[in-house]
Amino acid sequence: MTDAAIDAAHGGHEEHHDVKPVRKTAMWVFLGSEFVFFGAMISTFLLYRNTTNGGPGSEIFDIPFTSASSFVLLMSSLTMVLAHNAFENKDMRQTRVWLVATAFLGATFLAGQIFEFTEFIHEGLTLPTSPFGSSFYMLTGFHGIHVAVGVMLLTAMAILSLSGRLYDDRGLNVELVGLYWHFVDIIWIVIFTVVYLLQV
Amino acid sequence: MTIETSEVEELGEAADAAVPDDHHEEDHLDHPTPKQYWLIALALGLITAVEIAVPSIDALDGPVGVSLLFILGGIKFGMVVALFMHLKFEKPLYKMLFLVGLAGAMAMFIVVLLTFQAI
Amino acid sequence: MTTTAADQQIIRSPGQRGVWAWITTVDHKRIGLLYAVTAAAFFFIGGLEALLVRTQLFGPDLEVLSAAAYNQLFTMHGLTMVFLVVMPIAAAFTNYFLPILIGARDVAFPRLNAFSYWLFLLAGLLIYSSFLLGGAPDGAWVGYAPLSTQLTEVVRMDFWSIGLQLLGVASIASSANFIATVFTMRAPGMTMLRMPVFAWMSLVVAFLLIFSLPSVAIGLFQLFLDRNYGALFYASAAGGDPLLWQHLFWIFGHPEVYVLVLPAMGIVSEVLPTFARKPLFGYPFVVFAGAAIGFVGFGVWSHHMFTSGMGPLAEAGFGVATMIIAVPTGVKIFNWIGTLWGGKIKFNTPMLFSVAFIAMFTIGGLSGVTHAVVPSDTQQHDTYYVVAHFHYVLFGGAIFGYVSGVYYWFPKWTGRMLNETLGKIHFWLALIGFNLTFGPMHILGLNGMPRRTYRYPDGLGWANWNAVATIGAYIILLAFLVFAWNIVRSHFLAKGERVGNDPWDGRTLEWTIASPPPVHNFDEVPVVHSLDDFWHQKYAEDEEGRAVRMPAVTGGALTVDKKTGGEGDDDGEHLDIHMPSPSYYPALSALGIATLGAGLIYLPWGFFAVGIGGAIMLWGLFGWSLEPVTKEH
Repeated sequence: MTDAAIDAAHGGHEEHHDVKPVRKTAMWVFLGSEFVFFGAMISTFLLYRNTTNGGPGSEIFDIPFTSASSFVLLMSSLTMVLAHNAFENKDMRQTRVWLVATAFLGATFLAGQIFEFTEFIHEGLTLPTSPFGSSFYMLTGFHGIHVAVGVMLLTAMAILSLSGRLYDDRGLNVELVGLYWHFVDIIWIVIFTVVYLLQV
Repeated sequence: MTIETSEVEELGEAADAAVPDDHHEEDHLDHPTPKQYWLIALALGLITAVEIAVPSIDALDGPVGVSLLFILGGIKFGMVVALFMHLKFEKPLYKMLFLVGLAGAMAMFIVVLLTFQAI
Repeated sequence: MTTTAADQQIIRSPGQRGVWAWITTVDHKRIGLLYAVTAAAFFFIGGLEALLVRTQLFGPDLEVLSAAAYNQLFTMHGLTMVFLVVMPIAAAFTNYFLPILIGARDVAFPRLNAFSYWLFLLAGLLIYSSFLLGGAPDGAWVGYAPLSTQLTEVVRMDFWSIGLQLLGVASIASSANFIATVFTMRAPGMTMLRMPVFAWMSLVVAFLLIFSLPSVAIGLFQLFLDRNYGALFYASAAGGDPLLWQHLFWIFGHPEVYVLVLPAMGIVSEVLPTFARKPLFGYPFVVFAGAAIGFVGFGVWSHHMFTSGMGPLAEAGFGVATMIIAVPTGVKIFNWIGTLWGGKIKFNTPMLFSVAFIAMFTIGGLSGVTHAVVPSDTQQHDTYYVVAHFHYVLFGGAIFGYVSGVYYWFPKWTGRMLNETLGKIHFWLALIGFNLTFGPMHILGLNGMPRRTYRYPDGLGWANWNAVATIGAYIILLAFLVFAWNIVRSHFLAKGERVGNDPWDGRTLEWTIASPPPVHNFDEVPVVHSLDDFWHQKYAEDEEGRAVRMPAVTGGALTVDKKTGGEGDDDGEHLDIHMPSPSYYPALSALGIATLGAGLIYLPWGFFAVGIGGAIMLWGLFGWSLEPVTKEH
């Protein structure tokens, strides 16, 4: 006891409970590294945004449509944080409602992206059309994969909550998936600004 | 002595569950309420509306409009991170991890684009 | 007493034996040993590839290998040594010792740790399977576009891009794991500035990987899309720029160099104080110099691209940044010399390798500074001078450091010492062979011999030095055969001298526990009061500052483990310590991801493998996330 007391008086300013939630630490580490992942793709896009190789360029973007789907994804962050809030208050029914709502909004965003891709392909912009096309599809495609993974995790959690197996001490928990989901949203905020709005 | 050591005997992942409850609640004391979350979302929606309007306003062509878009996007980004992801209320370690990734990635890739004279 | 404890530990332990126990293990020590054994196997394969390359270059106009085989061998040599030898041997030490050095019973995520190992192993096997499936990657380990995007009907470079991608996933997972371990699992009193330097370097390396790997991951995806889906990222005819690949690769590739060498610096920083019987000179400087190397290491990637025409401003900037790296590196070297100064040095084998590390690394570091001078680098670019430089850093540096670590910690792993005489033979053969091989390459390079060259004609003045280098390479082989025999003799033939907890009179926590350590490492979590805590428990200082041995080791938490020798199981249950349960989900998930990756190489039919692999992966990941960490008994 005395030893520890002395220790606290000297160098013991580091409290071990300060950073105890190990999963959350690892999650923030992962999100930090994701910036480099998306940063590389965004800068590739910026490098090639005018390299259209004779194919369509940024004029084919349908800003009103993409704005609507951006708004949907933005609002899914609201439903996600409400799910987290309900989970903290141990209200499983509310948690489930908001989880399902978030997954639904995410799926809507994905549907919008599939529609957008189909339109662009009809208008002649494909992966092999130009460096512009390659970097556009890669960037938005990888973001879409992130959204799809998130929808899957949200759905799984909603199903688990039915049988009361949604714990906060497992890898799959509301807070961690929430962090991931918000991160996917902020990346879209950047993509929406840099890819769509700046092109006009 | 046994009191202090027992606190750290929990192992990694198992320790997540072992965080004492009072600590847990204290952690989330300052988080926004559901009503505030709705208001934040409303603000985010309004900013998005302004963003969409910017490119169609002729007076805002060129550098002014571009800077405005970056500022508005940055505000949205910051609000989601600080309030929805609760980073504002989190430990300095998490802030450091997040900001180092963000600032590091931006610095490196801006240099890359500069060497290509792309920006 | 401790030796019998070790004996019984090996004999006893029901349910801890057999292949299945190793596949499902989540024990950081076992995973560390798996990494070590795998890295050793790849080290001999990668070394064999280098020997074939050197044999081809023994004299002018030789044709020992075909040109195609030569390209595959030098590519695979680089790939193997960087990703399948040095990174995993560093991971082996980090896995085994990071938790023990900070007073923890395991890493933060034991199952994620197992996943990282299995994915690393499967990715390595996937890359090597290419030898049987039409030829190995042959575009150099850096895989520069557009060379690597050509010949898409030959899948060699797809093995390379998918294999590296999988290795990257494994490294990201283990890095996040180590960072969480250091920040959340330290024993009471183990403040950041009481952590051993090796733990610090592991932390810096984890950060380097976390922030650099995603860049090359994107580059590899782009290459893969270019090769298989007609994307145009690096197609200059369509306006793409192959230089983008070099940026994305070296943003990862340069921090990677520090990933390879910093853990070795950490090992040297543990070995020197132990054998000089003095504390590390200027501990905080060594720690912060390591962190500074890591930080500045992110701002120098373009010094690999000085001949690519980036313009004078960028070249000057990256040249200066590169020179700045020499400052923290120099700080470390002076601190190591300061540690030796006035010490009562014992030249055991670990110490010999550590001292050789300092000398060889200094040579490699100095030739590195010459690369920072842009005009000089333009002359040396892609010559054997560069080959000489990075082998002095990575072989004379990193590998010597890790070999030092093996000699140092072998008694902790096995409870037996390696033979000193064989160790010294190994050391001198390795040192002489190494310098004979790579010393002449400086001259060859300055005389204009390009690297990755298959044949050279007579009359250019290269023949003699090439012959010397090849002879040196065979001496290195001899040295490491002695090393292998030493390990086999000590451990497998059980001829090594048995030792207790603390054979070297060590300073750090691993020497307080049994050799080999019990599953739960510490019966009672240690409470740490200072840097080199164990040393201060054993020694006091007299009025002239000399170390004086105290009568006996005292102190509650740090006393020698008495209970492991007793009856009952050794999994710590009798102490009411719940270790994580074994799990097959990590290995299953890794198998799923590797199958998925293998399928991507053989499109379109490979989509079946992609589907099957994806399903296995999901099964593994969901089972994993729903399974409790510690199962009820």
